[in-house]
Amino acid sequence: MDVEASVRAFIEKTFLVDKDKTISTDESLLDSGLVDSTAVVELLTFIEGEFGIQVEDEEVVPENFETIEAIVALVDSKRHA
Amino acid sequence: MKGTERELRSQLMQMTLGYWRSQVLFAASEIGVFGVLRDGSLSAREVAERCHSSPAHTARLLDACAALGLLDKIGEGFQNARLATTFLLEGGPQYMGHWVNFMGSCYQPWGRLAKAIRTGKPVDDGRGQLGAGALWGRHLILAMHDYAMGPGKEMVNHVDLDGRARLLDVGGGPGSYSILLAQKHPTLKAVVLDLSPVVKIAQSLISESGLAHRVSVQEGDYLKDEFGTGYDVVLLSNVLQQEDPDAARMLLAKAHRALLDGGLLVIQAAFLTSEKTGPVWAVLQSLQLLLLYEGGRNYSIDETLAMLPDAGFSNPEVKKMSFLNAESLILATKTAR
Repeated sequence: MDVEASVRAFIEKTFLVDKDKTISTDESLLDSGLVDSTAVVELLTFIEGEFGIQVEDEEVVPENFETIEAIVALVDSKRHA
Repeated sequence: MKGTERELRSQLMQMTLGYWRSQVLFAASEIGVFGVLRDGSLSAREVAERCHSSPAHTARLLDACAALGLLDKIGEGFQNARLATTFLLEGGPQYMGHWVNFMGSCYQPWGRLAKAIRTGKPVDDGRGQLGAGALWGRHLILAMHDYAMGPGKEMVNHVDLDGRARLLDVGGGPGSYSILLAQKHPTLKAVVLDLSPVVKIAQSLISESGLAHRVSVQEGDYLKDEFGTGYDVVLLSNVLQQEDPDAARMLLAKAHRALLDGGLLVIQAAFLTSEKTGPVWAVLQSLQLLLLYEGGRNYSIDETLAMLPDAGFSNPEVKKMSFLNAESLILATKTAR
């Protein structure tokens, strides 16, 4: 499964209350309130474990986590670092 | 359908069980379990002796704590698990016990949520109790300080106070953000305005920080008293949420009067999305505010922005911070009237 599909599947499974919805790649996770401060840790644990990377607290900013697209970019940049 | 019935059933079960888990933590904290285990493993009987609790019932509570990962049980001995040693021992750098105690004290009001919804009234007089120095108020103020010194600390990186001389921290609680901003800006002077029992705590924290020469307290009621004048910055951190829209607008008008022309208004809060159904933390906190404060509620970014022009503020800027921080900022400038 590619990074985007994997991240999307996790977010939809974990955070979406309406399980029939789909999130688009550039949809703002922040503006939709989907991933909040108490839940973001689950997402971090998932991407660190799934992709074998380390995400520092300082990197948990809107630029890196606003959209699925941004998260994928972060994962890719760390895997190829 | 992506959500299977099994998942939905599980979700529903989790919703019914949440408060069982919470109460295990609250009870253990209240009777002092984590503190007595600070120096190492004890048997249930030994814990009960030190906590002055029923030996057999204490054993049952400790087993529940072990089941939830708060304690480790080895043989007949219980010891603090890593979660407890990191966050639940007083004096530790990441102590969250004040928050735990505050949330424990909110258990009773939450039990009357249905009543509040029916009557349209809070179930407790939060403001009055804060003013009277209720113990839960102390827990809340110290918990806010712990948060500000942890996840909330980055706020100072999102607010540019270069060239600003005087800051008023309205309803500033423990004065944490005044302390942090004064640390960042060596010429900044700040005043923390709040109710009498609250500023006593703030004064103590300010003294501990070594900044008493630049950060002072002012005892007052932001609803009744004027704020003074000549400020470059007014900070409203987690304040508007305690008030209904009329009172919130009144506070913004007072902030306007307190500021010099071109002065900076900083509003910090856990804002709701425009649909008001997220983020989950802010939505639930909004109900807590409903329970404790007449008119209490969280506002959305749009609602807050909409109040600014009439209050005489322009050039609004919304600043989102780390995802690990529940707070966001709205900055605006005082336009001369």
